[in-house]
Amino acid sequence: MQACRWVAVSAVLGCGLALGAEPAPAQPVTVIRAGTLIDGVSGSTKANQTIVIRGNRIESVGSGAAPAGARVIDLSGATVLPGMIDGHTHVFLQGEDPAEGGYDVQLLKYPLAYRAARAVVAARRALEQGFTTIRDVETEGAGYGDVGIKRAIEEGIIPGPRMFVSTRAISTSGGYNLEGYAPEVVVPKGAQLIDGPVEARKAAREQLENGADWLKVYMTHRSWIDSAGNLQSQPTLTLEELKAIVDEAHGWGKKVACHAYTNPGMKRALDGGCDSIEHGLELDDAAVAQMVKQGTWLCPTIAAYYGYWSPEDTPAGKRDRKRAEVHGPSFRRAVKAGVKIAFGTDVGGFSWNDPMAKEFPYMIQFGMTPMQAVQSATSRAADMLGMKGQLGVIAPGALADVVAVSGDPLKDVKVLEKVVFVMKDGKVFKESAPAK
Amino acid sequence: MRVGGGWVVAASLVCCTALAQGSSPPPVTVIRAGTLIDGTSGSARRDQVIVVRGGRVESVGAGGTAIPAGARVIDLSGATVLPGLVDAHTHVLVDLASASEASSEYESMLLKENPAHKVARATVAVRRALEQGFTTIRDLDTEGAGYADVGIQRAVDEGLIPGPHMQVATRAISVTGGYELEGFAPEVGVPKGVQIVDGPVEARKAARQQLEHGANWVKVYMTHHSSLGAAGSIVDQPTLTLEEIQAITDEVHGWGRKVACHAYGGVGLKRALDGGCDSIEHGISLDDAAVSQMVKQGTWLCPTMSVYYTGWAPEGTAAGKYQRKRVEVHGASLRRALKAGVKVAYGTDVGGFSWKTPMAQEFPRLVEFGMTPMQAIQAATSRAAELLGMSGQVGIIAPGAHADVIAVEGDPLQDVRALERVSFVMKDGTVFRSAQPLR
Repeated sequence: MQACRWVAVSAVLGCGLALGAEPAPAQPVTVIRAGTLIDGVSGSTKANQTIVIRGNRIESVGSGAAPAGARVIDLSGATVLPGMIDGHTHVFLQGEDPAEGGYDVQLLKYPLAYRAARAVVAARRALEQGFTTIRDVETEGAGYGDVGIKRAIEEGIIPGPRMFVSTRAISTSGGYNLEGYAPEVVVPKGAQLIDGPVEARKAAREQLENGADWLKVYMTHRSWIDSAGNLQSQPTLTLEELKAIVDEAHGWGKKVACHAYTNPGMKRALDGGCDSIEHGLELDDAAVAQMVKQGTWLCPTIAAYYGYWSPEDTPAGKRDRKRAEVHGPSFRRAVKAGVKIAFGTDVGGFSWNDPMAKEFPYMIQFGMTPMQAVQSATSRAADMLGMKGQLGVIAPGALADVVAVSGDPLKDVKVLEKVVFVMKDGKVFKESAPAK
Repeated sequence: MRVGGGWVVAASLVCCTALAQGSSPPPVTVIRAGTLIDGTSGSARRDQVIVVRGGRVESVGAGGTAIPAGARVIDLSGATVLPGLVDAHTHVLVDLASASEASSEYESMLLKENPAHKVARATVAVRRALEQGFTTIRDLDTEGAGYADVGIQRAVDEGLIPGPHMQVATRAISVTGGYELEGFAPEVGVPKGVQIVDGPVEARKAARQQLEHGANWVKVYMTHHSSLGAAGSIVDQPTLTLEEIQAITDEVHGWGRKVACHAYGGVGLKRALDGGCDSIEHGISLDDAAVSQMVKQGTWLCPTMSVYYTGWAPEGTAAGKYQRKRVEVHGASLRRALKAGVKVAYGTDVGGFSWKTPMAQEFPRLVEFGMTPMQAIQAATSRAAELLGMSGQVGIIAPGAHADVIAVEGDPLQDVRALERVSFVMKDGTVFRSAQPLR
């Protein structure tokens, strides 16, 4: 059976597992020989490490010998790191290429089941690229579909990453697409729209009831360049409306992610208690200081602002270029001040066929070291998700989410675009080629 | 364990598909077939060469045929090659894994299951069909998942997920009191597994809505509750009146499409036939009158024998007695239909039984009740294609047809069970599955 041809595991149990020829022991032991180990927390790498995995957890990491009878995975020619975490995805979006109908066609003409089938493909794309966990920050009109996909993955029906989902997201009247239609025509909106703190809290309650792990709030919407040449963004929720949501979410022990570009929406987001700022296009010194003081996370999604620009001589085109222009320095300011930063791409906002790791070079360009960038996609993102020590780290007790790349990502971060080995929860999902 | 194995297999099959699709199939492919069953001929041919170009079969000829230059050659000279199979009765949105727990699983599916979760399961089901060599399916009711089958069909047609050619029926139609969910307190509103209509106006409107939203077929439940009557024979509750079914068939035929009718027997079956159903699904109790009306009108039968052999209650119980009687009557009906020359298409009702069990399990049943192996294979190839209005397109290996080609080891004409071991699957000229590496 060709499964054995693909699973190039020099193993005792590998082919047997694939064929289902014999039942696996209750807690199979797997050993990964890592040529170079980036463990997700240490400031430097370690050479020639033996990672012992029992069941779905890492048991030990060191230079010892493999236990007898263990299945051995030889990655001694590779760099091994924790399964990566993308803190900002949209599995229900498939890019916004104007030639393909942009954003609108997905809500107006793609049936929900078609969007769900494509979300199944997106989930697998994430896992293939070594992202063993994602925080999906809203379904853009596909309701609670993310909860269904997450469950299907948890039940082993389809392959995919661990998912933290936000469901419908929240904005205000005039605060989200679809827009631009005749006022008499009722169009679907890509978020749940509320007005007033009562509706805001009710929406939060509904989404939490129906399975949201995080709530996502759009604190700014339209953006443009003003007469002075500065980037402006339309604030959406009032401070009172946001506080109702944050209060409700925190009562449930859950957190709130806030899309915010500039003040005054940005200020309201911080004053209102958002746990993370998404994008944060223009963080001034005051915002950065407030984020450090409050422990607010930043999920910048820099690369997303560098593609798919409108033509240069249009207002939208000028704005697209301005956004990219301010975003880098804003990020640099945040890094310098010690703002907690989690890796996120906004994939789905661009095509799932683009590599998710394209974000890494931008983070380095604007002030992070390669190790810091890798940590933002491993232990730091895990911390944001409340999974410190469980995810994003290769250490005893952590869940066995382990990936590997050929070459040295600390010298050339682009090697992270070619993940050659993916293990999630102690099970090998992908092994492209024998490591030697 | 199952999860681990499943994922590795999934990865390997996906790799094959991705390889084939990503690098686009070579312009010309040649298949060397050791034995060829072409889907229409009464006997197999030895040592044939099939030339595939642009996703279609270009020619079929004897072994000495010259190979076009630059062709990719697939050597199946040790195998029996057939057209991709057709299952004319599936439910991709359903997966009743355990027949004995079927009703509580069904309830849970309608009451609790997230719609995207259903779609995720369905993406696995369509891939299962393709893996097993079923390159075309007619899906007959999403059982409460609305128009999800249309979305799946689109994703397959656009090459986004692997799967068979699909004809879909969307929501299906029955009447008040004519479908699950049932058994709840009357004051509690529960979802139904089909669209419920009363009266010919609502019936026609439902047909119009479903056609509008992409139904290729309209599926109607003409009988519902079935049990053993006092006289020991099977009694079936009729659902739609003649007037109601006529409104549906009239509307659907006006659109150039067809109506598939679930019907067990009795009054409901008679109304189905009088009302112009194009196919009878299951047809448990076909008497001589029904059979001759089907022959006269050209009505198809899609019997789905094997689904009635799963999940039997113990012999002494009412349900157990009924289930055993049902298969006895069903077998006799199929025999009668075959003898009279009723047109029979292969269908399994998979989804009603677990997608993990072989779809080819229906073949031995058809042979048991009177078909020859070749007739059973034709029921799943050229005959089913004819039911679907796709004669010459699928279910046949001949010039102009879709290049949907499968292969099995061994001789299915000697033992139809060989069809449970498909080793090669090509759809539209792209190899989905191959037992050996392709050169």
